[in-house]
Amino acid sequence: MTMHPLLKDHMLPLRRYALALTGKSDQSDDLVQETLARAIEGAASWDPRRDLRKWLFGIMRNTHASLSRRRALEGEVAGELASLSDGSAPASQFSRVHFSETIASLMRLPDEQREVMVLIAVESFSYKDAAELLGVPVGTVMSRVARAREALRSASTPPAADDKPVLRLVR
Amino acid sequence: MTEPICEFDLMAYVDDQLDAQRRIEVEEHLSRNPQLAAQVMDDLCRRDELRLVLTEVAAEAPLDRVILPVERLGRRLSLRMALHRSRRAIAASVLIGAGWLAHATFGGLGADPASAAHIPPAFAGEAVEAHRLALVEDADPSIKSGPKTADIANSVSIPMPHLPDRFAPVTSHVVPLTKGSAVQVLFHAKGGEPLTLFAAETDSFIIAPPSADEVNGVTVVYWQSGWYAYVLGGSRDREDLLTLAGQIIR
Repeated sequence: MTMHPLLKDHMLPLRRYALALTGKSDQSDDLVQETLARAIEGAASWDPRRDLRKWLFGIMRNTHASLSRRRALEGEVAGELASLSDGSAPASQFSRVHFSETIASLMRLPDEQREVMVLIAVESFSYKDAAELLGVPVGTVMSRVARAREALRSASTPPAADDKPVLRLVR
Repeated sequence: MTEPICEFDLMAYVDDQLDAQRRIEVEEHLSRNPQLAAQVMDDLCRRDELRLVLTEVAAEAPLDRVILPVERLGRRLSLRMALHRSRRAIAASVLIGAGWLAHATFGGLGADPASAAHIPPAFAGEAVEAHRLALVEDADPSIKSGPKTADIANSVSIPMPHLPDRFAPVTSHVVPLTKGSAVQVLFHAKGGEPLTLFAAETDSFIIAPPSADEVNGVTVVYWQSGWYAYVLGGSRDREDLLTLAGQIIR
C-alpha cells in the first residue's frame, strides 16, 4: 500500500527518531502511533510555509516526553537501554538484526547525546535546526555531538590501544 | 589566507555542516595529515553505519498500524495547503457558516451548494450495504459479536455519538472505504427494528443538519459534524430517524 505523498518521505525518519528517543522497538512503534494521532489532532497548527519534518519531529519529541512521564508515573522504569546491547534481553525486532558495536554503543549513550547524534548524523539536521528542535543553544548541540562521538570512538577502540590518533585542536 | 582548521571544522566536516569552500580547505588539510584523515574517515564510516543500521531496524516496523493515520494526516495537511493557497476560499467558507461553499470548493458530499442538503452523501450507499450485511449477520447466531464499540471507534479515531439507553449496541465493525475507513455499529432497540449508525471521516469540514432519504429500500438519515459524517440506517419511519438523529447530535 502506498503512503500519502506528503508523508511518505517522513515516515522512515520518524521511525528512526522514535528509536533514538525510546531505544526500544516496541515503544518506538507506540511513539510513532501516538505522534501521528497528535499530529492529526493538531494539523491546524501546521503552517505550510514551515518545514513539515521539523513540525513532525517536534510533535514526536513532545509526545515522547509526555509518554515517558506517564510511564514513570505508572512505575515502569524507562530507558532500559543496556538490555538492547548486552544481548541478555533483546527487544523484539532488535534481536533480528545484526548488532554492530556502533549501534550498541549508540543505545548506551545518555538520552540527550543519543538524540542529538541521530538528528545530526543520521537525519542530517543542521546544528541550528537541531538546536531549535531541542530548545537549546547551538553550542550545546555541538558539545553533545562531540561528547557522543567521543563515546562512540572510545567504545570501538580497545582499552589497551596505544597512540591512536585523536582529534584535537590543530593550528 | 584561510582560517586555520580547528576541531570544530573537523566535527562540522563529519556532520556535513560546512559550505563547499570550507570543505575543500578541510580536505586539503586532511591530505597533509594522514592520521587525522584516518580518524575522520573512521567517524564518517561510523556515521554511515549508524544510518544503515537504524534504517534497517526502522524499516522492519509493520506498516499496517500507520497506513490509516498517515492517510488521515496527509489529507488534513493537504487541506491545510489548499486552504493556505486560497485565502479567499477560506474567508468565503467562514462567511457561509454551514460550510456549503467550502463543500463545493474542496470536494464534499454533493456538487451543487443549493441542493446539497438533499443529496445523500457519497458513502450512503456503502452505509446501506454495511447495514444490510449487519442485519444478515445479526440474524445468524453462529456469528459472534465483534469488539466493543468504543474499541472499534478508538482504533480509527472517529468520535461516536451516544444513542439513548433504549438502544443497545450489539456489534461493531470497521468498514474499509476507498479512502480511509468507517465504523458501523448495530443497535437493537426495545420494541423496534434494529438500526445501524455508520460514521466516517471526510475530507471536508462541514456542519450539515440531518437529512432523510431512502437508498435501496433502507431509510437513511445523514448529517455531518465537522470532519465526520454519520448515517443512521433502518426500516423506521423517516420522521422517527430524523427525531433520533436530532437527539443524538445535541
